[in-house]
Amino acid sequence: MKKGISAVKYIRNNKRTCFVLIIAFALTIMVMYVINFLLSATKESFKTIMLEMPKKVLYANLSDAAYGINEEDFATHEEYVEKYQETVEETENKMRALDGVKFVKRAQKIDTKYAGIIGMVVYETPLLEKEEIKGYIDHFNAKLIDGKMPEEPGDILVDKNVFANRHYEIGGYYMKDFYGETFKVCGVIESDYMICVGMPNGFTNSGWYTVICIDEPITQFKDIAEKLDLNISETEDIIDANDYRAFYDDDVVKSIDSSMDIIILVVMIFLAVSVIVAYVSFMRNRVSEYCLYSSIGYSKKSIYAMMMREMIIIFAAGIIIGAMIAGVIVIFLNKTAVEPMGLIGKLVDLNQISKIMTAIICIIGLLQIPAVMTINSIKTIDMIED
Amino acid sequence: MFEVKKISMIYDMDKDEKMYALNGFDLSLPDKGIVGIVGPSGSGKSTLMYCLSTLKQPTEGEVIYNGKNLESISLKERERLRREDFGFVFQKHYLVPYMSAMDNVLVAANNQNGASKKAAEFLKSLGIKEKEFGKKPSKLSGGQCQRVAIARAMINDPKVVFADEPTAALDHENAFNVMKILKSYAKDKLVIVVTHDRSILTDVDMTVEMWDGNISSINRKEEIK
Repeated sequence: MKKGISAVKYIRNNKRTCFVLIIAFALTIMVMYVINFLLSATKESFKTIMLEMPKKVLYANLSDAAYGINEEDFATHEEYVEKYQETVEETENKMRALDGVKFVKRAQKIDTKYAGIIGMVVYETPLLEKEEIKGYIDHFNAKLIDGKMPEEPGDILVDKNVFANRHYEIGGYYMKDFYGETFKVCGVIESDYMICVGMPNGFTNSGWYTVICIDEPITQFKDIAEKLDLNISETEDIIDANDYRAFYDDDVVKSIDSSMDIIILVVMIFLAVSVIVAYVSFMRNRVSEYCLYSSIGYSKKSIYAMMMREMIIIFAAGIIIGAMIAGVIVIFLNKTAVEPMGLIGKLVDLNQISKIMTAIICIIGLLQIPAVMTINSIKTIDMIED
Repeated sequence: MFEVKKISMIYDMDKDEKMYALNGFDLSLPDKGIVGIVGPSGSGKSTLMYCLSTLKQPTEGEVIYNGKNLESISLKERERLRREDFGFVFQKHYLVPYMSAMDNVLVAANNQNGASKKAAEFLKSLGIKEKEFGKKPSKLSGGQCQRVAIARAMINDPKVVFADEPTAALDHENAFNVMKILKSYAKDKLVIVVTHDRSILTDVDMTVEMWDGNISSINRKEEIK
């Protein structure tokens, strides 16, 4: 019965050397995954605001041309305004009748800031009448979890993640650095969309938009414009999924992914150099052993197979230990840092795991160079003694 | 078992002054018994042994083993012969330093079924105590290491054992014990011992004396007597 050379004997009898290699490898994997977890918390959190929320609400501030009105066609400004308002109302009524449109309201919108580990996003918060707010939050399946519903002008309901992210307090001022003591946080809501909503209080330094709550089959304003035959140009002031998608892909994803790719590349280069140097030294110390195996009849193929089995065992142990340590740290960081910041951490990132595994496979590939060189340098004992 | 025909080993082929380690001679070895190849340093005795054992390929001539020309067989077949038919005892024992005595014997075993038991029996018969089976070579004496190497060479019951200066690093008592073991094995197998020390070759079946790449004399047991 033909057998191979045991890969376990070396590892069992050289625990200290192998342990150092395994732990170094495990820690490298852990560092890469934890860094990715922290960076991707930003990506995941921003994804909710930029990709998920626009599926449920959009904002439009259309030009006269979109409504088919030209002020010059009217004798007086008052006539123009009357016609404009009539047209806007008529358009909004038509919108309400569309399948997929749940709510339409011309309203002020203010900004909400939300900071990631790196970067920040600013997004829209509508100011609605008191009786409209319940319907609005129900559209997002949001629930009040603390405080009370808006009752007074200037009251704002804040999503729980935003509440934590901006360190708000119930009764405290909302976006005080931006709006001064204009708006107050009256309650906290929980939803999958990080929405905030409030009541107007006469604050004039904000834009007016048609707030449109949508569901399938409406996914963007273009769907509404086509059904209502609105003349929409590229320059219209529309904030919808289209807008946010481009921003998310171009700014958020690219910058975070490229940062992460650079980090993985740099870490892997260091790891590759260290591992290759360690392995070359390690193989050099065992050349006599390999020559003995060749002399007593083991083929170079079986010696190479033994080397690969040793390598795979060490790498596998490093991966398993690294994954376990990374798992514990990521769960800990999620509870102590990410969630308290109101961010959404992705504990299992398959994309990142596949990148790390690809990098490991590349290192194993690089290690074939010294391995093959060692195999080719194997002599039989007589040649050593020569 | 072995037939050597006009064997030559030439080094420095591309130089004007070539070095003839083996100088084109014939030799025939028996199927069993102990054969001593003796000569001074540089006489070609180790080169001859390595050519017989497939570790080296002669520049000219043939080595026939059991009717097979070793120069015409594949690398895979040479490796198979070294694994199954041949056993090696090197001058430096070349035990694997991180393996125990037992594991050093088992590393050569072709069949793991019952190999541990067989290795234990070999080691005990060679005077290695059971409590020493788990010791690494650094914890064993030179004589013990050489005996472990012998056990490794014999674990597969090879048809031929090649022993290159097996007693060079040993004291007289250990040298005597090692030769006793090899002689015992040679009762129904072939053992080829290469040495510069004639004193260990008392009572061998055949002695081949080498000088400067040539065979200067061949003595068989009946003739020695």
